[in-house]
Order: sequence, then C-alpha cells, then structure tokens
Amino acid sequence: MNAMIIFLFILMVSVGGCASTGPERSQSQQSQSTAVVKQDLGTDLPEDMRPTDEEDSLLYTILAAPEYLWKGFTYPIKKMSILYEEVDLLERVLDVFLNDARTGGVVPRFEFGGALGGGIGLTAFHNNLFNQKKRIRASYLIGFPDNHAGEFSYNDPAVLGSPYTLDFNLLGLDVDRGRFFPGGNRAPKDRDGGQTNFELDEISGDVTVGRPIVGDFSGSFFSRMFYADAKAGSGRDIPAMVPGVGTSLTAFEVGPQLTYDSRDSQFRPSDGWFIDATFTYTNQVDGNTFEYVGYTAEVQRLIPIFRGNRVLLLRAYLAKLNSLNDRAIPFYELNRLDRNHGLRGYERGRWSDEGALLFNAEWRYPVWAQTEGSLFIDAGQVFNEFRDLETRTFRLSAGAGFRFVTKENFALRVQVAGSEEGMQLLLKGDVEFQRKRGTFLGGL
Amino acid sequence: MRKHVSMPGSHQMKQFGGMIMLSPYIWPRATLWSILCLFLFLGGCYNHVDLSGPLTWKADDRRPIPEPEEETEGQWFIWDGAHKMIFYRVGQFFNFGRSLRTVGTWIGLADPIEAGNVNALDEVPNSTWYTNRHVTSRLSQEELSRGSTTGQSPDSTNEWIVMSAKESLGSTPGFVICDKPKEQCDQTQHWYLIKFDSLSNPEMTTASEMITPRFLHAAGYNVPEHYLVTFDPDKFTVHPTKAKIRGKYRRKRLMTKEDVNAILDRVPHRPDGTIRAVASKYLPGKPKGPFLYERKRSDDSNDRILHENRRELRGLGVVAAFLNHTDTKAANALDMYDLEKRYITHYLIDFSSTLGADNADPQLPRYGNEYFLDFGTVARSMGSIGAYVKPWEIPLHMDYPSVGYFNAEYFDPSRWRPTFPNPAFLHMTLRDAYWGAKIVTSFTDEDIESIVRTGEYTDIRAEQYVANVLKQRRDKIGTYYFKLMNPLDHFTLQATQSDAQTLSFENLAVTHDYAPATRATYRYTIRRHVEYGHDAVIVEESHINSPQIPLDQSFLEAWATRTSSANMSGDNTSIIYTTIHTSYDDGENWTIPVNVYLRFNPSGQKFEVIGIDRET
Repeated sequence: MNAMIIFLFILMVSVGGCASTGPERSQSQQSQSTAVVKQDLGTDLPEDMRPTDEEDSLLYTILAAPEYLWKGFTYPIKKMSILYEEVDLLERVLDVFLNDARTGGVVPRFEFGGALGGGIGLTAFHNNLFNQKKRIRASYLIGFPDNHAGEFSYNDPAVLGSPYTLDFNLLGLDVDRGRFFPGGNRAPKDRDGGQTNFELDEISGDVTVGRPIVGDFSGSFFSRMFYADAKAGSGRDIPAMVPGVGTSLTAFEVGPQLTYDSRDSQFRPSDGWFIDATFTYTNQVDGNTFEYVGYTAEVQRLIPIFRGNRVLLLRAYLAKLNSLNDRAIPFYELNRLDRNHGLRGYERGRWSDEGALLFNAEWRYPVWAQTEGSLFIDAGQVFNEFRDLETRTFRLSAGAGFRFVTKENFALRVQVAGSEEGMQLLLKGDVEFQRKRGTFLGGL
Repeated sequence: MRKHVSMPGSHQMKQFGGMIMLSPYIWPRATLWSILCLFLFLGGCYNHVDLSGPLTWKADDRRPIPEPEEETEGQWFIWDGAHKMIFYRVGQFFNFGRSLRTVGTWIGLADPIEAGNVNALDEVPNSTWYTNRHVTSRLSQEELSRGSTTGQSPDSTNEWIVMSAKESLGSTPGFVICDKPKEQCDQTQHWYLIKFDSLSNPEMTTASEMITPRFLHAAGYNVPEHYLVTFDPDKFTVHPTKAKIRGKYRRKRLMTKEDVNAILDRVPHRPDGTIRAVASKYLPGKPKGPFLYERKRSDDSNDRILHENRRELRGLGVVAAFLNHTDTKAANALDMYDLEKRYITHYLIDFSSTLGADNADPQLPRYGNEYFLDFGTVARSMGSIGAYVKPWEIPLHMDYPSVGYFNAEYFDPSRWRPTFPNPAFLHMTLRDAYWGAKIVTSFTDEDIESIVRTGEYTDIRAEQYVANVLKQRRDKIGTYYFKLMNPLDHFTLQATQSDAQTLSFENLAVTHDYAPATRATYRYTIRRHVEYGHDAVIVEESHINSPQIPLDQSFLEAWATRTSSANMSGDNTSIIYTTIHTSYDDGENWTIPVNVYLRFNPSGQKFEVIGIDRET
C-alpha cells in the first residue's frame, strides 16, 4: 500500500515535471503578426543553439535500445530482402520452374492430408499448347509412407477448331498403405476393429468428349479403361471377403454426363449454379466377377452476399453404385466420404459404401487481397441401399480454413475440421469440390 | 496473489543446468516500482511552447557539409514495404520512450511527442524541406498553375536522345531523354524523365503527374518541374553508348531503338500519331537517394530533427489524403546535394499514384483506405468472420477512364491510409493534422480548378469531376480537423486608440463554412504568464461575439496593477496569455482552448504575439 502511494506520488510529480520543447530558434527579430510571414529572418546560429530533437536525448536513446536490438535481429531479413530485389530472385526462381512466357514448366507440388495421406512431387504442365489454349499436364507424387501416384492429362477446349472438347487422362497408382473401414456408415474407427490396410496397383485411362448444348448446358460422353490389382496390406489386413481383395481386374467404363454451369468463375466462383449428373456402366473384361452401374447428381448454389465479396455455398451430392447380374463392386471403386471427399472432419478413407449422400454449407469471406476465410459444415453418410438412409445417421463435421487464391487459379488451402472423431488438418492445392467419381484418388 | 518472502542472506538465484538465472519473483518489489516510475517519468511528458527564444521563420539548415553518401535503403520496394508494414511497427513497440509516451497519452498523463521543427507560433519555418507558400501568402492563379516550373519544358524542335529507361520498378512506362545535341547530354540539367499513360486509361497518369506536384508545390514542398508534352514518336534516337536499360535479372545493358519502340507500343497514340506524356525535369544537384520518413541522415549535420518528427512530413499525411497520394514510400522522395553550396535539399518525386491513378492502372478502392497489408482490417475481417463490411468494399467504378478511380464519397480523412505505413504519418498529432488541414483548405474552388486545368483532360467533364472531388475531399478534411481543434488562426494585434490594441483572429471553420453554425461566441481570459505556480488573472472570463479581443484601457490598467514595473521591461516576465474557447451554440458547449502568448515591447509600448499553444 505504501509502495503504491509512493508510486502514485512519483508518477504525478514525474509526468508534470518532464517538459518537451522543440521550436526552431534564431536570433531574428520577432514577428508582430502570425498572418504575415517573413521569409528571410534566419541567420546561422551557434552550434549549441541549433534545434535538436526531443528524442535525441540520452534517456530516449537508452529507452530506444530494445528497438535497436530488434533492428539487429531483422538486419539479416533486410539484407536478404534487398538482395532478393537486387538480383531479381523471383524471376530467377520462376525461370527455374517456368518457361519465359510463364505458360508452362515444371513445378513442385506438395500436400498434407490429401488422398494419399501426404506427399511431395513434381508437375510438368503447359497451359497454351500450340498457342491454342490446349493444356497438358504430367504429375508424379511420392506419398507417405510408400504410396505413389502418376498422372497425365490433356485438355483440348476446341478439337480441330470445333465446339467439341476433349479430355484425356492417364492415372497410375501404387498404394502400399491404403485404408479401408469395412462396415459402411457404421464402420468402427478404432484400429483393432475398424481400419484395415490394403495395397493397390492401378492404371486407368479415360477419354471424355463433350460439347456445349445450349447456353450453360453442356454434355459429354465418358469412357474409361482401367486395370487394378488389390491385396491385403501390412498390419491389420483388409478382410479377404471384401470384393476386390486378392484379385486383379481389367474393366471398361462408359457413360454420359450432363452439366449446367452458370458459375461466374471456375476457380473462384461467387455466383451461379453448378448442376451435374452422370451415369456410368462398368464391366470387367478379363472375368465375370465385377459389373456395375453408377450415377451421381450434384447441385451447387453460390449465393453472393454484399456484391460478391462474401459467398454462401450450398451443395448437395448424391452418388450410388449398383451391381449388375449378381456381380460385385470392387472396394476401391466404392463411393467415399472423408476429408478429401466432402466430409472434412474425418480421416482419409473413413467412410465408403455403394452410396454416398452429402450436404455442405460453406461461408466464404474476404480476409485480405487474395485470401479468403471460410467456415463450413458438412453432413453426409454412406449407405448400401437407399432404405438405409436415416436422418439420425448423418455424420457431421465442421471447420474453418483459409484459401489463398488467385483470380484465375487457386494456390493453397489450409483447413482444419473437426468431427466426433477428432480434428483433421488439410494442406493442399486444389479446386474445391472437383472430383472424379470412381477413381481411388477422387479429389487429388 | 502470489506471495514471496525473501529470506535474508539467500542467494535469490536458481540454477538450471549450469545456468544461473535470477528469478523474476524474487526481484525486490522496490526495484520493480523504481523501473516503472522511471519509465513513466521518461514516457510521461507535457509539451509547452518555448517562449524563451525569438521567433523564426527560417531554419538554419543550409550550412555546408561534406558530400554525403547515397542513401540506398529506401530504394528497395519490397524491403521498404515489409519494413513499414511489419518490422518498423513491431520495432516501435520496443522503443520504450515512445511506447510509454503513447501509454501516457492514452491515460491522459502525457502529451504526444509534438513536431520538433515548429516555431513558437506552431508553424514550420522555411527550410531545405519546406517553404511557406500559398497558406501564408496567397499565390495567384497563374503561379498555382505554373507550380515549380520555370518554363524549361523539353525543346520539341530538337530530336530527343534517350539516355536510359525508367529506373524505378513502378509500372508506369517511361524513359529518360535529353533534349539537346548529344555533346551537351553529359549534364543532367538537360535531362527529363518522360512518363506515359496506359492504353486502358489515356491521360490518367499524365494528368495526375501534372496536377499533384502543383498542389504540393503550392502547399510548400519541393517538387520537380513537370511539363505536359506531345511529341512525334519518330523523333527519338537512342544514345549509342550511354543509354542503359535494366534487362533480365535487372542487369544493365545498352538500350536499343527496339527497347524504345517496345515502350511506345504500350502507350496510347493520338489520332495524328503523336503521344502525350509528362516530362519531369531532372533536379539540380547530385542525387543522394531517397530520404526516409524516419530517423535522420547521419552524414548531414543540417538534418537535426528526426524525420518522423518533422511537421511538414507529418502534415503531409493530410495533404496526401486530399490528393489520394497513396504511394508515399521512401523511393518517392529524393535528396539532392548542391555541389557548390554543399547542402542537401529534400524533394518529393513521382506522383503517378495520386488522384485516380495507381501508376498505369486505376486506383483500387482499398488503396487509400487500408495498407497493402493492413493487420487491423485483416484481424477485423477474420474476427468478424466476414460480418464486418469495410465501407470501401465496393465495385471498381470509373465514370471517366482518364480519371481512374477517384472519389470523395468513400473518403474519410480519419481513415485514409497510404499503401505502406508512413512513419511520419503514424506520428502525426492533431496539431500536425490541423496544420495540414490549414494548407488543404487554403485552396479555394478557383485555386483547385486552375490547378486541375493543367491536367489538360480532353473531356471537360473529367476535369470538372476531378475538381469537384478535390473540393469535396478538401471540405471533408476541413470539417473533420477543424472540429477536433479550436481552429482560431491568423492572430494579429491592431492598434486602436492611444495605447490600446485589439487581438484579432480568424475562425477557420467559420471562414470556410465548416462550422456547425455561421456565428461563433468566444470565451476568453487573460493571465500573466509565470514559469511556475498559479498565473494571476488580468481579465476575468469574458465573452465576445466577434473574433476581436480588446486590449483596451481597462485591460492595461489591470495589467499594470498585477505586473510590477520591473516586469514591463519586455523580457520573459512581461508575457501574458489569453485562453480562448469557442462555442457554436451560444455557450452550451465549448471547444478546447487556444492559448495566445503576448509580450510587451517597451520600445514600441505595444504587445506582440510571440507564441500559440493549441491544446488537443
């Protein structure tokens, strides 16, 4: 108490006793009016009478010592920054990875929490082949712990100048630590009774030919040929009774696709509808074990709020596979919901079954120039038959994230989502909700 | 509360793995109090007018100095931005003198650090940084339009020789020319920086480059000469040995005609094939790099006031807001060393990011409202998860491409921000802002129209639009800052009868019609000024309805009664001061006061105005 009184006393005295002044001084005559400025009244002063800054005092200098330490700490950053600009380091780095026109090159890629769990790799691409905006891309990802994926894709927006579009994709997979949770929507999580491991080798090639129909409507025809060889993995093996385990499969797949896309941008949409429906027929060509059809329906509505700076995205997605002629569907072709497939609070491969129903609501808002934040909630369930669907068995997840986006493309997404089973972190480059049904890598 | 009992004779130390550390819990309490008191002592300070010296209107900063080194730090755009947005601001926290002063200001125990280069009238003396011009003695319309120019526009009868490409990293296309024969081109006095418009916004950048420096010159700042030129693109040659351009990886190489053509291909041509450009004449002297808006030059003994404590640099924040001069980074300032007189003059340069232009592009709505990386708005956006809608979050709308994006509707003087934080602006106090607002409001409608006319917009509606926006921005600035201060100014003493005088002044808010009422009431008292203790009242609280305080016979008698004859000798003991409050609602509410200091001059038997203290 005494100390407090002394402190307050000293404080009152001290703040009243410290005065600062700093006017310019000279030996000039005094001005009689502030309205009249006399421009040439100054003469040179003795050195000790020249003005000094209040903060030049010894005490202020001492008190500024931590700032000087801070400057010392930031000095290397300063030097690096100046060097960066001086030698045009950004251009040099870009020149390592990209061509002069910046339309193509080889760039590193990485992801944490993606379809392969995580990995690093390289992507070679060219976005303006033959100066006709044809795109070609080849990518290889080395995943953790020992998964590999290679992709090659070609996109021609106007085949021979026609309104037809052509997409061609090749995919190679070598998955040594895949995860599968038997039991569909009721699959337990725990490692002893739930998660199983498998190995998968897959080669897949698909061709899609499409064309605009009218307005924002377009149609396409999809065909795919793939070879897959799955077997039990190390640790807790996937049960041998699961269709596809211990067998190899060569199959083809065909089907139409109808799309209505009125979004204002493919990569950073803020308004419009995206409605997509597909139907596929898949049949094994080297045996009679597998044959099935699949269909998907997806509706996205982007609602701009406050002139498009904030967007509410609502999405509904339904996918279903049906086996034909009492044949089976390989487990790696099942529909999937996990952190890469719309149900973002659940781990990789968490839910898979013949059917998947998913609802998403996402609120996107601007944070900085090219950065937007998001809050989202997901509700989904996988099912075997439609009659298995129940309102109380929806799996829920919610989370938040940041997307560092550019106007035309998208660079990086950081996302944290939680569910009843814990938290999931995702760090990757991707376009939201872009997925291919029926390939293991789905949202890669 | 955690209690600690210090045992006598204990070591008060703890040992961790060989390291001996003093525990903070066992510091004597008195030491903590002492440190706190010390900090507050140093941080808590009041400002008062120094009346001890004579008044000056000219700074003593033209003494010969050895040729200083070239400043290079401010030339680097990325570092300058990162430093100002992040490192400088964090560093300010560690400057305990400033931090504690700031805390002291918040809690009302101290005044902010006021500008260090003002005279006792709170005005800026003329210096190598600044010259009082329009605000103190009005310039004619012709002088305003002429700006800093001396009529030496590039000679279009000669073939222009390209001496180099534009050095800076700005996106405005341009190059440096010499308008004289090659043999005379060694000297930069014949050099001009030629800058162009972009294809998408013809006239926008060049008009900004013409208009803004004229306002800044009239405001008192040193700026280069800017001329609007129209030329034939075929009348260029490239200096064969000296013309350089920065090529790949910023390596300098010889410039070619193809390089010039590549620049000219990116600029709009008029129907007759000519090109409109602005020519900025090279400054006299030897360039010594940009001046930073912080610290001082260590090699210039004339540079005695920290730059962030200079009134004209702090007040520039208000002038820049008026002109939407968002690009006040260090690289847009330049120190020139006079090799004959051997001192440095400080210039503002490059005005391509002013008014509606952001170099070759139109301004974005966010610029002028937030920093490039503005942690405040980012945090607010994140914290509110998007519910906070920034007022300037509006679609980019341009009525005139030649103007770019420039408006008054979303302009808020208190919120205006340059692209990078400017240390001088960050340290701006209300007095500095008031000083800047006085300059801005000194431009009448006619003044603004005259200067805007120099932009030579083809579309007269664009010219009118710019002038109108500037008038509205001026009025917003005046209304805002004249409300925060008591805007009484231009104090003069006028002789009336016998020995009596009248202290007249002007209420700038009333003059410019920014006041809430057209008529104001003033409440004043007059006291004898003493250095310490309680000042004796000479004139009790009085009210007047016109801005004239009578120092009449009764005042003189009261003053004589309370002042000994020894104190009428004209020294500092003969100082009196009047405290003036203003009311715009017949005395219901009163503004903060202005204190005007007067000293009796025994030789003339008159009082003289010797100081003004504007309370904030």
